Amino acid sequence: MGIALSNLLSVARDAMAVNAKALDITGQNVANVNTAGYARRRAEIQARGTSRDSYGGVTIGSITRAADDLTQRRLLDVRGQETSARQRSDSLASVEAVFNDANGTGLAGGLVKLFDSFNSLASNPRDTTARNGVLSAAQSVVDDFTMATRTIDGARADIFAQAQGYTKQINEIGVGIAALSGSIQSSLAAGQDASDLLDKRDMLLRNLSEIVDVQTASNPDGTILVRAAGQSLVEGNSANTLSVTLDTPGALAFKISVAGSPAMGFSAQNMGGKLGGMRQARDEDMAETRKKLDALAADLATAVNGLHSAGFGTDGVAGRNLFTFTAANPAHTLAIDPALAGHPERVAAASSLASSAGGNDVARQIAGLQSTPSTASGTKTLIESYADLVGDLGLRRQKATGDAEVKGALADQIQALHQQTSGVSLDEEMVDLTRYQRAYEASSKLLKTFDELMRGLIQSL
Amino acid sequence: MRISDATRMDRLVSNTSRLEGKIATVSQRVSSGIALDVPSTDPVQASAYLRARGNLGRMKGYADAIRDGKGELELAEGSLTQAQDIIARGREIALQAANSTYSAVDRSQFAAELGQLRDQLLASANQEGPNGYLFGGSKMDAPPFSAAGIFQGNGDQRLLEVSPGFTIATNASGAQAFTAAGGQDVFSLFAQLQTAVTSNDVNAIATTGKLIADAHQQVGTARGEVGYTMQRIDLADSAQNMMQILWKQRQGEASEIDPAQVYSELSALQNTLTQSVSVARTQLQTLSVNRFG
Repeated sequence: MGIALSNLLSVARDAMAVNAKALDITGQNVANVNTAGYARRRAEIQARGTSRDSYGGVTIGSITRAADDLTQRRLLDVRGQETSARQRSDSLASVEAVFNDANGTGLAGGLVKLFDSFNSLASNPRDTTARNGVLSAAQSVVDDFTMATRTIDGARADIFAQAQGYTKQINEIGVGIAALSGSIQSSLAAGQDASDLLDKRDMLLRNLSEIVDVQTASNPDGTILVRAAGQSLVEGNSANTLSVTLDTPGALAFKISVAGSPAMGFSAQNMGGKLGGMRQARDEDMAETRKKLDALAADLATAVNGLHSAGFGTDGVAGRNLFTFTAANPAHTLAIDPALAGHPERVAAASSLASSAGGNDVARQIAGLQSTPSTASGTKTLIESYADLVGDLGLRRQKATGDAEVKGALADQIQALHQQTSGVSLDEEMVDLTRYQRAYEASSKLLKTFDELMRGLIQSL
Repeated sequence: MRISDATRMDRLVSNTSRLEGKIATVSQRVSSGIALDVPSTDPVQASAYLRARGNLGRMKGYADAIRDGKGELELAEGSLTQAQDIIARGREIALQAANSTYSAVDRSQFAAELGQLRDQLLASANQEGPNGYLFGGSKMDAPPFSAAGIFQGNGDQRLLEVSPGFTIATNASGAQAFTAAGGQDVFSLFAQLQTAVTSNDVNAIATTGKLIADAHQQVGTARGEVGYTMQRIDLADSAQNMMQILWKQRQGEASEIDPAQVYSELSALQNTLTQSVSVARTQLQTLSVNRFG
């Protein structure tokens, strides 16, 4: 019986300690309810068996971290797709603003005015004001093209600078993940709780997945393999180095450098994340828009020059172009031929020397380009070609925005699913708080009962 | 199903911010009246808007050409009317002078008047418009008719496009109206008549008088052609006005808001936001009371 009373004391002591620890863990969960990346902890309370050598009672078998690796991996993947689409959409916004004709920007107004000015010239071929009107309208078109190319080229340059910044960030996160993996490996090997380290590594993975779409695989020793675009960024507790440069056509070129080996280039087609979205916006969407803008500028200059050079100015001279451009960069180099600048009499309106003083055939033909197919394909007018450019850019951004919304909603669902396992519910914690508090009080009562029993026993002696 | 507090709060925030974002977008459309805030709002309509704008620009070009062309044709018609009146007076003089009862003094006065009429006729034939001589073709460096009444212009037409693929000449042919190319050389006839009146050659006066009647009809024909061209311009003007209205309508459909639809959308979004905020408030109050109250 003496042994039994001694056991009761031990059981009460252990019960108080276990419930105090459980209260401590609950407090930890409550305190971290708003901590990003925190996975709730749970005290796994176990009964200790009674035997000859054990007095029974209770103990904490382990403290578990309610992590859901499956949804975590899925979340990383979908967040990467969402941020990719969102970044693509955001990057295209500045370029789209240049072609916003319904709100007063864009090239349509300038093109219409140019043809309108030739129309006025056709009606008033001897009027110097009408001739100056042509030069003024042509300069506006040149300015519109210059502004559009500057915006696109500037946006592409900004994205390259941002990509370099993000690459640096990826490398820093990679080093952080590798270091944490090393610490997790050591902690687990020593039988210590690595929950805090795992939380931190998961947060770094989430941050990384916003920059680049990552896939992870866990190793039994607690380290992980992190891959992006088919390349290993982190292997165990060592990180590889990512870099970005521009290739000869000017596209982003990514390279991965594994310690001790030369940097290797790789395809970044499925890179995902902000970096993937930037690459797609810069090297696919903007590059295509720029290409179409170049084609439009070349088509415009070629069509107008073809007619203009066959015409005569009021000075009786023919063979002059209205526009100049370089074949390598038509939209950006488009300019009024210096021979015409400030010389309205050199604007060609007449089709013959005899009619050079008042003829209007050439002006009328150039004005007619507004409704005549005059692109290289020979099937579209210049305005139609421009409408296609704007429509294509709009569709690209619309798709990116739509994808971002769909992937965002999906990511929110997976996040909720992940939180269902890992997140802290204050309702639940309040119940636990009460439960452990009551258990602690009961344990105290047990101790008090033991005390009363012992007192009664001592007094009876 | 466990609902974590983070999920609950995230949903409250994301629902309200998403609704506020939508309200901001729709409000912007309401205040600007433009549905196409950016091309990606509706790329197909953005493209349609640009096509409509291009066509509207072309229609404006036609309208300007019609206005300018009509102005020049009206001037030409006025000059030809004036020329016809002068020729009609010449014909009257021919009829009067053919009567042998007139004295030498009378014939001398007729001859002097014929000289003045010829000068007026020359002035009408050399009339200038905003783009140079009305009857000289494309030749602008000299009047179409010399002092001797010799045509020194050309037959070039100044064409303006007034509807797709349809051009009209905004000048009348001086050669057809006043020279033998149109049947009679009007200035030569006036010179012949003046000579015949001066010499009292009654037969020559009668013969020339008949030819001047032909010349009157010749100028009348030229004037009629100008009038016919103006009628065609008026038809083109009606057509382009109608097309301009249609393209304006198309442009508006592609870019402007449908007020009923947008106001209704805005109202629905505001109601949803009010309800969402109310639910959020209730949830927050309930949670606070239950846990900490």
